[in-house]
Amino acid sequence: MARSSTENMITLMSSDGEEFMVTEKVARECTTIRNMLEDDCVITNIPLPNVTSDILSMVIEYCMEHVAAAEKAAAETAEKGSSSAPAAAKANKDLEEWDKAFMNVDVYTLCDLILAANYLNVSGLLDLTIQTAANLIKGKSPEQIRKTFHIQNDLSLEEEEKIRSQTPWAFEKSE
Amino acid sequence: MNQHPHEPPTAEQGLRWANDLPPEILSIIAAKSGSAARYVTLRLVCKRWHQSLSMPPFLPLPSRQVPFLLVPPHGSDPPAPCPIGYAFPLPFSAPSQTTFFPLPQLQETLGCICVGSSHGWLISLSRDSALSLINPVTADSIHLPHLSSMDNTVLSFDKDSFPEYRLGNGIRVSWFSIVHRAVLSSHPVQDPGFTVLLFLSGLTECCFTWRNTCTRWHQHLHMPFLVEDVVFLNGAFAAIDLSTNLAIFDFRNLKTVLMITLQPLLEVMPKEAFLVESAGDLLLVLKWVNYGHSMIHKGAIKVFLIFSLENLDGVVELGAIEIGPLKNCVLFVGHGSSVCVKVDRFPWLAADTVYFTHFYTLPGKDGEVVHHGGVYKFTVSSKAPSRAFAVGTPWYFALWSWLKFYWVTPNLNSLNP
Repeated sequence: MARSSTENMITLMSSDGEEFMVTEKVARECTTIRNMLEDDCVITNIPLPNVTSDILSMVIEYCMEHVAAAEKAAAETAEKGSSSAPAAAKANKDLEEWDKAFMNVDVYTLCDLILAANYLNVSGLLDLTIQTAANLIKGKSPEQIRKTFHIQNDLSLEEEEKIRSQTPWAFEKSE
Repeated sequence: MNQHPHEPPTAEQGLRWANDLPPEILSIIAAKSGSAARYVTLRLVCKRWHQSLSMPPFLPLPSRQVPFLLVPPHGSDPPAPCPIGYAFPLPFSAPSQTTFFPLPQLQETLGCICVGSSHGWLISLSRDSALSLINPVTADSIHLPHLSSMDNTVLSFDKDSFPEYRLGNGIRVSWFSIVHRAVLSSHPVQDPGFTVLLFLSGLTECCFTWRNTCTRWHQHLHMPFLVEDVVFLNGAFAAIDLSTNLAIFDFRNLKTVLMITLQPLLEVMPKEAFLVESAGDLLLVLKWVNYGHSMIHKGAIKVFLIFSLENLDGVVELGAIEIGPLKNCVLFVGHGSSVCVKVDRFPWLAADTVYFTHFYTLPGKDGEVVHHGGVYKFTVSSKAPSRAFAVGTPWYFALWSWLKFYWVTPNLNSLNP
């Protein structure tokens, strides 16, 4: 496929009415949008009623970064005939670092990003956010998890006891 | 550093994590957070998480996953003090390149042997009679009552010299031979009533069960039955012996055993018999060996479908029919650990194939007996239903081992760090 310098632009509209102009390539990172475009190729304005402008701007930032990284790698491959392994490894590492910095958010934003990545079906971002959430959970007691995510414990003592008694082996080590 | 400005959290946002995440996302987060124990911990966080995480992601999906082979540490007899199953070979993608990888999660099983493998969990036995369920991927362990805690009139344990057991009838059995068959009914995270069933060597008229949260083994007396293989199906344990009698152990209804005699399926006594669950059906794999005129043993395999297992009540006669091609199935057979895999998910597996492990002894250099074990492959075909395999040539690999190999179907997602 030839790369065109004049790419189609798509307008994404957040739930609070803000409009974001992105290239079609960036928009296609979202599988949900890609499917819409494939069903109807003349569509240029897509309302996203489930995503706020704050979160949409972050999702776009993520997609742009990843599209740029992929384009850079493709360009290098085309230039040299084959990609050099050390350069590719470095580019991967840079992108990982970028992802890591990108995930430096509070738990509310993280939750919104998971929901947006799920809704827009951005698999890379979904994996990244889910792994971040899983890392926050690792090695924590139920109480510490509640604290981390600001969750109210609405289980009664009896219910809690019942769950514990069903799987006593799960609590042997920590208690 | 926060490069993404946002509004400060409101009280409503505080409910986000409890209320907004779809159960499937929560399940993935739980699955990625490490172990089954962790998974259960998450169910204690709040009501919604408890409800969302009722179906565990650790459920092995046998029909969707090719099992691994758990290989014991080899090269010593009796077993060296190393963890059970130091390695799995990779799944069968490239038979010519046997690749093992170690299981650091099994470090705690130093000096133990594996006596069973079901639902992705291993059943381990130590020299001092401790039995445990161990998840080889997540390192979770569930301790079962010691074998030495059993009634002294049935089984007593002498750990002083070389550890061995003395049965009620006076027979002495070494510690690594005492467990004849051990199976787990269901996945411990999914089913709070999961049960372990034990058959001990030399005891043909009783078996033992331990149900989750119980503190001791329960003994069940039954008619003499030398169990060859046993599986859990439709709420009960089904067991087969080498005379192709089927016994149903239904502990829910306190109905101890229902014995069913299948019509003789082979003219000769099979060498081994395996029960395999396949999408709710029960398959019986019979393997026999003819000791022919040459040094190479010729053998064959037949697969039967045992029918009408759903309505066990009142069933006294049950039939079995031989099936030719396996309808796009691949069977991995092993006592208590057989798995049926649909081949359409794994194009690189040949359909209608039975993989099995086989153990044999050959004379060594100095005249002593050397134990070998390997993986063999057999094709079930309607045209040549008894195609022979030559026991001297394992299809996959051979190892110097006298301990059994086990098929294990762990959750592959959780293998990724």
